[in-house]
Amino acid sequence: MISEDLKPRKIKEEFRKINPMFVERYEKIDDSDDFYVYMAKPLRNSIRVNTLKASVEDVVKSLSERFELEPIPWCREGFFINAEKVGGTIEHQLGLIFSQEASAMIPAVALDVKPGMLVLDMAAAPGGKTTQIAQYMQNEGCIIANDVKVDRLNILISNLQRCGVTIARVTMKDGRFFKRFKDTFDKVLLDAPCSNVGMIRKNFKYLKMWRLREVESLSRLQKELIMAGYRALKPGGFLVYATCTLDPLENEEVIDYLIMNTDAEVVEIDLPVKSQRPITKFEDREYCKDVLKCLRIHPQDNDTEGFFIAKILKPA
Amino acid sequence: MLKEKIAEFLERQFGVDRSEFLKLNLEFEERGKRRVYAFKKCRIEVPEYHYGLYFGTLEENGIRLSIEGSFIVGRIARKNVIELDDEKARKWMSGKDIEATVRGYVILKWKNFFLGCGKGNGKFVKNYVPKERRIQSA
Repeated sequence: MISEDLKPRKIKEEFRKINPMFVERYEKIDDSDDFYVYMAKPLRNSIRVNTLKASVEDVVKSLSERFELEPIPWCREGFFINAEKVGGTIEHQLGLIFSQEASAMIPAVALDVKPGMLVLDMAAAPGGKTTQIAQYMQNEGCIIANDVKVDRLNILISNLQRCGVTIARVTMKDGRFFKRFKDTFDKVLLDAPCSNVGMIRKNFKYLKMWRLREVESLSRLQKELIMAGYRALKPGGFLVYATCTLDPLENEEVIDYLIMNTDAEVVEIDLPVKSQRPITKFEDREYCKDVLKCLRIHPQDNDTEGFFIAKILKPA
Repeated sequence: MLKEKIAEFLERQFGVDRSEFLKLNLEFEERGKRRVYAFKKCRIEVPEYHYGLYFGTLEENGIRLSIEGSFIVGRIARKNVIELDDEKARKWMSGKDIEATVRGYVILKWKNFFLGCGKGNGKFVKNYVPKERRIQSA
């Protein structure tokens, strides 16, 4: 653990000791003092009220007897909470709340699902976004909740149970499998596998594990996944692409690739969330101006995990 | 038929009106160890790994609801719902039986939330909260 009380340049040097290649790379992405200060700062705990089981008001009232809650501006059901561990509370064990990082609540909000829709969640485990989608659908319609790894699926299934979701069909497929469902889903969420830089605040293992080669390999996979998800999307439908990382190869480049190879259009996400200007030039690469409509969230913007979110329309 | 059987049990155990139960639009399936799963129909076919919510377990003379089953049924139950105060709710959620003179299946309620289903023997309500859903003892 790196002390958050260190000066920014000192934090950066500590980061360099752990993974020099990471610092070299991120000097090109965000070399600000704030970036390093917030990367070393522990994440605030946050929860989302599960409205499939209770009203926001009832749960807030119950939790407020023991904890302080602060509303998350971009998610009506989301709250920062001053609890060390919410997992031990009755509210958690009953499935009234879901422990979820505040920026991770944005993709499901941006997806804007309605009851009765057919939704594909291509990389669903551990289920934070799936259960959030289910509550917005009021348990009406159908969610195909997919993940490729069996151990992650079991966590997903247990979270679907705890949250009282009756509309999920859990599949264990490589996400690229869904390209065969051409023009099928009203909405598609691709919370893509990524290099998890946003999660360094949660656990420094992600800093140690970071490798540029992995980023390049993930970028190739993300392009294939987004192409499959876009093909499975109905004309007139929306796809939300999200990662919890900040490398342009895994974000703007993936969106640029989709735009260049399909008729996809990027749509602005109108939420009260602070963000950075998306990257349109990186090293020798240049991305189309449409990527400027994406949300690039750095840890210092809202004191959350770093996140990238793009909303895509498939024209009718 | 399973749905009919469940409707009968719920009517007898908790006074659930049949038409209100049918309005839930749930399908049911019995799997291993007499466990009943509830789900809604999906309009496409996919190679499923899993679907359905564990709703309850069929027993000789009724159905013992899971915590999630109690949330679904509790809202339309008209009898045999026991309200617990904070202390008793914590006791129940830590896996302990609750003293009560009721007999048969009951749904436990705390504030506006449901804590699952237990079985009373006239002296106490037997606790069925699974280990992974319990809180640490008060």
